[in-house]
Amino acid sequence: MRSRRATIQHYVTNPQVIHETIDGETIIIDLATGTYFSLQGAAPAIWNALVAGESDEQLVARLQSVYAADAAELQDAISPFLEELVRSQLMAPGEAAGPAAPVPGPTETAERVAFVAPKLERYEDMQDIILLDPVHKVDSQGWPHAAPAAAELT
Amino acid sequence: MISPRSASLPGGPTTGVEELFDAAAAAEGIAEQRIMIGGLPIRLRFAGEAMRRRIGGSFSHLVSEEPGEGELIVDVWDSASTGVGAPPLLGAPVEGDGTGPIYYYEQDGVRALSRWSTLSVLDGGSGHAWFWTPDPAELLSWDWASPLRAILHWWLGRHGILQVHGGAVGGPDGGVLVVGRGGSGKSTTTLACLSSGLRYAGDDFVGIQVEPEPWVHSLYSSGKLEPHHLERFPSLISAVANPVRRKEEKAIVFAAEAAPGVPITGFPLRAVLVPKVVAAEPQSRVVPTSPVAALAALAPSTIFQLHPPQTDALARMSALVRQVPCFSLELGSDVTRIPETILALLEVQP
Repeated sequence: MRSRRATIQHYVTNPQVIHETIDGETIIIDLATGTYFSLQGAAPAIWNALVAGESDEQLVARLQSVYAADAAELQDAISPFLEELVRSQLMAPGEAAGPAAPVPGPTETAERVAFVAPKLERYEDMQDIILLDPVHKVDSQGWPHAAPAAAELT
Repeated sequence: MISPRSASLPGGPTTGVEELFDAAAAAEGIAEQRIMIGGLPIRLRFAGEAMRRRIGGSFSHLVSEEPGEGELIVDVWDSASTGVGAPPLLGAPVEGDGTGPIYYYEQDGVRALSRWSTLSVLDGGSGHAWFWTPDPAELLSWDWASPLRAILHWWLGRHGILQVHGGAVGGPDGGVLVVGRGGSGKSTTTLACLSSGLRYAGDDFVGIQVEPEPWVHSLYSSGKLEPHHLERFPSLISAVANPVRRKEEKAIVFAAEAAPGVPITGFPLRAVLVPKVVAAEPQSRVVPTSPVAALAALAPSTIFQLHPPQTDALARMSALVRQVPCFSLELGSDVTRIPETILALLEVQP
């Protein structure tokens, strides 16, 4: 028997990240680093639920209503994905900003669909442009600002 | 090389550039070129002939004497031909790259970007812009082929036209947007269409409008090719505008000169193509692809070349790929057969 998590966790999106979901596919762009990502499998559903403000516990319940998988299987797949989102600085653990917003994406159906583990595909081919064009280095202080490593790039 | 002087700017952010352009114009006279992009009139005023000769060709297909409201005036000058000194830098240093320091300024509707030894300034409120470079002969190829890019991005963006990283070919009834990172085959695809019956709206940067219907607006008649790709286009070799160039620069051709009458000002957008070099067969073919795949080919390289990145640019490009069908263009080994694939596609796309 698996033990349940002791705390309920919410996540906040990095403000330097922009994203779009079309027809169940998601692209994420990190404006600060030039890295962009595509989400595969159940990842778009997870991403959009977290962006809407759902907790990890709400997320598992949501996925259970959509996918033919039990809570333990979902938790096993979701946890490393969430860790990867945090490691990639796309999201960070945070406080709930309020009630979750409506979540776009798959909703409960009479027949649950097969669960495909979430996957984050990373693309770094924009790094060349960023290195050539460091004016895009931005942060929450606003844009633009001088970066501390300026001398190394000249 | 002359660099912009750093100076305080009493009296307003554009003080300095106005006076310097006026001095350059007094010395050399003004040569005007009126163009129209997406129904927006733009009057280019060159101090003397040097810069008009250097960058005017990129806009030759957009020349229009039609009157229009809300005209943007762009004053262009250089120091080498006019003898007028460098303008003050606007804003704060934002790191630098191999071409020197980069400065950016944005306040009260005025934006300025200094990079690649050029200065671009737009006063959006008054519809007045300035572009300076120390020496037209030293203008880097990307500023030569796609001149005034920052100013056009800022100005057109205020009017609902987003500058995107992509090429476009088609005709008055409709055409395609060709998107992808550098080296994906955009230029090969678009330049292959110069003698095909398709018309040319650009190979690297074009404007797009989503509402009231998806539309492509040509910005430049130029095209750029890696020097080793020129062998695929023997007819263009004699049209290369920069036979002497830096090793990292591409060869520039101007479609208006290489193929008179072929450049077009714009057209309704019928499809987005993501080229991919396959070369398994001589002919090329199109295969449906997802809107997100097209967005991934279009958005990152567009956003990271905008100054500053527009926060709503991704959403606007997303709206575009939702509205028009998207295809992977699998490029065959025979570049002369690329146009027939696009023409066939346009015949069946409403």
